[in-house]
Amino acid sequence: MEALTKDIPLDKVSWSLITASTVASVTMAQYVAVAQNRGYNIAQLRGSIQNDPIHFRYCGFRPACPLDVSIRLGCDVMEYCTRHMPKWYYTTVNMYDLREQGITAPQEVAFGFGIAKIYIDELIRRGLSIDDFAPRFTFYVSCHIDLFEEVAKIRAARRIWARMLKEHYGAKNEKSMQFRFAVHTAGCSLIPQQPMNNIVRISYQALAAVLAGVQSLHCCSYDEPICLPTEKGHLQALRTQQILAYETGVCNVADPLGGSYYVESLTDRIEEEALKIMGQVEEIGGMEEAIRTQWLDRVFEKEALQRQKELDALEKLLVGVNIFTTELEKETPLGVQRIPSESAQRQIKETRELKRIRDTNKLKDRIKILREAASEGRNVIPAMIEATRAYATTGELMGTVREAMGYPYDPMGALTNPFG
Amino acid sequence: MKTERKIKVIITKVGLDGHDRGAKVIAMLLKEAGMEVVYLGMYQMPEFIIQAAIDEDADVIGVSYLSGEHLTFTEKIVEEMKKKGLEDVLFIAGGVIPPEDIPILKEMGVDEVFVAGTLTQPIVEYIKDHARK
Amino acid sequence: MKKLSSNELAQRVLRCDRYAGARLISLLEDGNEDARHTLKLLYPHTGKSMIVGITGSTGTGKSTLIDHLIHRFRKSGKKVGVVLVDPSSPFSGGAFLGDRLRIQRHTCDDGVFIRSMASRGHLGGLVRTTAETIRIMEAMGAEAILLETVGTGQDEVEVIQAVQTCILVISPNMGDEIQALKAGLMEIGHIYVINKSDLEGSTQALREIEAVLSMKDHTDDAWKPKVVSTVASEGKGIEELVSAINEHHAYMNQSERIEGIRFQRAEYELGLVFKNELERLVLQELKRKGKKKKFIREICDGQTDPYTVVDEVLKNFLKKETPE
Repeated sequence: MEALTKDIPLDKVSWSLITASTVASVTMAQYVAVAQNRGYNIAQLRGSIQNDPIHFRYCGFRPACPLDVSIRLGCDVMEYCTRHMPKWYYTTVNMYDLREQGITAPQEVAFGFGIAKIYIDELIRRGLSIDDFAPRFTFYVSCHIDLFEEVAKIRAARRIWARMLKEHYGAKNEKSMQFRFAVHTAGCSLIPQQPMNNIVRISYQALAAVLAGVQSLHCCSYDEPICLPTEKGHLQALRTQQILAYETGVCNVADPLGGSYYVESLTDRIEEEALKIMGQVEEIGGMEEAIRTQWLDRVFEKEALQRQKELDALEKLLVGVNIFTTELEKETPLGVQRIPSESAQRQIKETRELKRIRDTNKLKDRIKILREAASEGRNVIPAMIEATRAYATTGELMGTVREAMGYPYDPMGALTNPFG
Repeated sequence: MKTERKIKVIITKVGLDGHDRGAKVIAMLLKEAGMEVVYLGMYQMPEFIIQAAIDEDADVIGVSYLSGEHLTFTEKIVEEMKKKGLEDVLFIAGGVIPPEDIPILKEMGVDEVFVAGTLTQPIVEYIKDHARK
Repeated sequence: MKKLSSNELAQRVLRCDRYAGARLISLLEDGNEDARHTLKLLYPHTGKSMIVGITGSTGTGKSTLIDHLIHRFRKSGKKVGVVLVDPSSPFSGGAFLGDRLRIQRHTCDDGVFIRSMASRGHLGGLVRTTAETIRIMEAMGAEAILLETVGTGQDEVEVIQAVQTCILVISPNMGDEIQALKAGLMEIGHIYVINKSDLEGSTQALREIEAVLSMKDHTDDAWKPKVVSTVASEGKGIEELVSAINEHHAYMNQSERIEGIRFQRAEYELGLVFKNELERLVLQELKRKGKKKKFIREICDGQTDPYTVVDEVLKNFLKKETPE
């Protein structure tokens, strides 16, 4: 984190910290530690951190994401930021990754809000009032290829959120009721066949996001289904946004499709469908129960299979897959991004060196304090900040909290706690 | 009484790669095509995959790669297959694989590669035509 | 692996060659006739293992429990065989065998042999191949064999008869479970496990099971079914489960009882093999001569009925096979 933020004036720049949500607590602690070391008043810092550990279990890191640890750490960050960093956006509840599992637009909204409710309920249980924190609650939303459906989905989400905050949670501040979100165009809608077509798909998806109204937009790189994004692919994605923003004029109007008979009726339909699904989740005992009993996993599996069958049966058409197919390209148009294996080796070497030169005694004390905070149910962020100052690693911080909460130190079961 | 021979397929992910949507879908599709699929899930290492293939007398090993590590792991898997005498077992791979790497994988010993965006029929037909009888 | 003779295959199985064992199981699943010869050669080397069946609905945590049991048995130095049975789709004939996933960490242990099997929908077929797979694992030296089934459907309930100790696993969040248990499956369990016992409803489930069990008649020296609470995901209650299994095993091994068990198992398997062979010989003959379809058409046309057909066929069959 020190290396990352070197020479950058943290009070003049807004930061977007996007790391694996499982360790968002560590990332936040690292950022705060670095800022404080450099003499900044953290209450003035602006930025955001993804911090949605609950959903991360569906991103292939299940052993690292026990539900109670996720809720605990996610809310520790949210609570800490609410109390000490009022200009910071402390979460981006990630509906995008859920949609990537293959679910439908109404399901994306329903399950995303379901997870949001878990965090909100916990923060309220901790004594925060809804208007204390809701104005900074944000989401990450997908934008898929069915243009009108995506616009309607986002409009429906806006309605549902506003009503939920006002009627269910009793929010009084208008800012609490605003559905604040960033869009990531849908990675799973892109295909390696005829890859340049993906640029067109991404453009339509970005257009849908803007027509629906969004606070922040990320466009996929066209080579998403082929490899990690190349620099050229990145640049193309950026240009896509720039053309949209500066040439087309669509950003000059808010909600331009409002009043369209079709979009309004579609919005109603998606709202109804999403609310119905949220009702189903309540019936089985709430979102936590749905996650714990793997009900949600079953939904994801069923929908993923259904998406494939729709393509097989030509119910959904995809250019290059089931219509207008050509032979698979032999080359990736803008090259392939490769990560040199040396980069992993370098990181390992640097970590070993860090462990060698740091003050182990100071670290042991700080870890002990963290362990106590974790087992006594207190917010762990202050202790994490102090332990980070003593150069504790991510693994050591997370492992300490995990053990204190009754889980193995290492989710993969390979390492034991070096602090005994 | 002689029953119809079933094709037994191992579907697995390797290493730390946690994107299992495709692997699960393929496993279900192959089951619906009449095959017996042993789904090993995530975090498998080559020796464990190969030993499972031996114990299950598998006809096909299918690996899903979404981590960009397809070249490194394929080398290890093929080496293990050779070591344990499984050369007649069909080895198919899928996921996020650049087209440039497909000939390389085949050179290493992968029988066929089915990247994202492949329909079900070609995969099922390929396995039915090429799995050992 | 090139095609081996029955002799070679048997020798390799006895040397604990996993390729051979795995291949033999496949051949038996496919109904390969030569494989029977191999089984003949292996039979004298079987019959001495502890055979434990674990049954219960999907989602009760059976595989996680088995993971712990394998670990415990290995720690006590026993070689373990594991058979995991999952249902075949009645529509496609295929199967999703996802139990191995949870115990995969034991795969590279030389002392553990794990095999997944699909029920393949043949009435009795599952039971025969399962029983044969257990024999093969015994021949390979397994001292403890764990058999996992879902316990629904006729076949899978029958399969439990192939084991010595039957464990029934339930979890409290499966509301209708206890009712189903009361309805029929209560007869078969020697040990009842309430897994996920940290969930709400587990105390109630415990009481209900104990109540049902106490209503059963017991002679003084009959085995009193044990009830164990576990939280398999956290490794809790496993010691008690292992104790219960060992206790039951000791109980079964008391002189006359072990003889009774052996007798029952042999009787059962004899019946299975007989049934299988008869079906193979008679039905195959009919099919070969094109008579099977003819008989079925005649039955549909009302010219005859299944009982008359079978009487006729068997009369001719026995006449042919038994020299006057």
